[in-house]
Amino acid sequence: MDVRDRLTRWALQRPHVLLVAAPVGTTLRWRVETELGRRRWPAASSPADADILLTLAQIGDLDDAADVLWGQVPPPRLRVHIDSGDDISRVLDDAARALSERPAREPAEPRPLDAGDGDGDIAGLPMAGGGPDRDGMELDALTVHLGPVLPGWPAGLVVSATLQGDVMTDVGARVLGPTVGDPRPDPTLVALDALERVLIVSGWTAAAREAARLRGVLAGDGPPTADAVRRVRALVGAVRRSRALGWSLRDLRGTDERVQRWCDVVEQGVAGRPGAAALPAYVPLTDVPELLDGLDVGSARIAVAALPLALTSRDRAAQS
Amino acid sequence: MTAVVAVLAGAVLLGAAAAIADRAVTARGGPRGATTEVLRSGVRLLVKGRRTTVAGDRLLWRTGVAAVPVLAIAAAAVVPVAGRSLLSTSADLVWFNAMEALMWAAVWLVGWGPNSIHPLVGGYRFLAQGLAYELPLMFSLITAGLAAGSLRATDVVAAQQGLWFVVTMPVAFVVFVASAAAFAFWGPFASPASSDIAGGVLAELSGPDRLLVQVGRYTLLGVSAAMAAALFLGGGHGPWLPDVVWTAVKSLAVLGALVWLGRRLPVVRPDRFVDVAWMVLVPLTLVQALVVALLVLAGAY
Repeated sequence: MDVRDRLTRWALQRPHVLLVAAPVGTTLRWRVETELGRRRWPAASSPADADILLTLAQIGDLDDAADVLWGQVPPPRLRVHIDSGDDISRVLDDAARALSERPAREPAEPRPLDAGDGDGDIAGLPMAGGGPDRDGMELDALTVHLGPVLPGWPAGLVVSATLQGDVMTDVGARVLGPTVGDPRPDPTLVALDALERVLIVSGWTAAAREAARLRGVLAGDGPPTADAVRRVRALVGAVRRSRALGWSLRDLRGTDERVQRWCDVVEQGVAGRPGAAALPAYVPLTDVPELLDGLDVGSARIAVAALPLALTSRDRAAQS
Repeated sequence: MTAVVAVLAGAVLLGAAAAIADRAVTARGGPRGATTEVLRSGVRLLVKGRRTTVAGDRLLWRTGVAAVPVLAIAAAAVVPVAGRSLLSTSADLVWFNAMEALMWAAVWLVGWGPNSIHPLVGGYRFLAQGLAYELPLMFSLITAGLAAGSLRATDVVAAQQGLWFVVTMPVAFVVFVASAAAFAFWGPFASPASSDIAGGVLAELSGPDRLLVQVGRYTLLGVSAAMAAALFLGGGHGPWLPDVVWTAVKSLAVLGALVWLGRRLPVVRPDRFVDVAWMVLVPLTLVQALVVALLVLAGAY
């Protein structure tokens, strides 16, 4: 083995992972995320930042989205799939080994394009059109899709919108991937998951990592240890007290309130009183467009992260 | 020639120190672990392939990517060490500020180039954030120049023989250090590259391109910390130890404090920061400049 191979192997020992998960299969996703955290394999912020594209159990029509993302991952790259909780360690061990043997250069895949040869088209992509913005000024309008795979984003959600500057209008929302057949997970963990999303999109990396670690700790068998309870309280306290975070969250269509609710749920959960704090009221998918209309992308991302979305059949059953 | 190599090495070392400190405060594993991981991240990017996007503006994209580290190193050319700097002009402070202002163009191009929505939003966020802190930053630079009666960086250091400028201009010091973080779009000012827009200007960068931008960001952070030490903390002045050692110690101290504090905060949303910058920071730095001007008239420096 020459020096270059050994260097490559060493450099890829902590691969960046892009996780494609469905609205269902939450427990498996959490177990995988905990294992990735334990190995200190960072989550990729975008396909360009990824080494491994990891799909979970049943992703249904998310598979097409995974194909598109896969086309954007630069080599050396590896696509792996985890079917059940028993596979996690084995698949990841194999992946680490296989990744460093992948070719560093791959022939570019020809990207299928719509044969758009209209006047305004470039490489088959439509140019941004024009239109009046929220203040009535004429401004470029571009149609974009957010999701289904983004950091701190509910798995499977796709929000489409017309962007003027970074302000979203004509918002639509739908779900990709299977939504039926998940046992409802522990509300404390659901709340920690929501807090982690909020902390990721508000750029508080240290706190987001702690939330993910604690979710892994609390997912273990038996009641939480005194140390775990102390850390949970410290995290929740820091989130509640942070004026910088509060500054980002306030006046954002109920986001502040929802984050406080998630904090309550986590606190009551580790105090041995699960159910003492009510979950924030579930928001059906049909309410998402109105909630996001007129927000800039950054605000919309924070608002979505804090949402208790009803994406699975169980969630919808719970709210009716 | 030796001077060029020295400045280049100094800038890259400061950048490495910034990256390692950043790693050490955000992940477990201590300074040694952080050094290993920073090296690993660098080598990983060297072996990764380049991402291309559909209908991107490749020329402008690559130009922006290359400009980020080049501007950071160009800024290092006026940082005074032992009474000298690689490039000594009658307007060093303007040169330093100009390199940061050119960063506006560079980062915006990195965002514009790939023809992709998240980098584009990130590029514009950098400009919006720049509008917020550029004026306060200029006022704080001018304040240091005012007290020294010169815009030459070595003169500013020499003027602090008796008293460090931070004593009479704490506001200017804090604003300068905060803008250092903003120009490197790092820590609380990382919104142009934050995860709510999937990495923003970095979202479509991979391999050596990403490495260049990251090296540039950390180098600028380290170089700005060194400049802050020179302009406000007396540069190489200090007892017993040689000038170079004091410069290094102070620069690393500013850098360490900046990284430690910056990583304890979430990212500040640029739209909300603009309010504070214009309503609070601009008046504050103006009052700071006025106070220093009066002190100059009173012969305090």
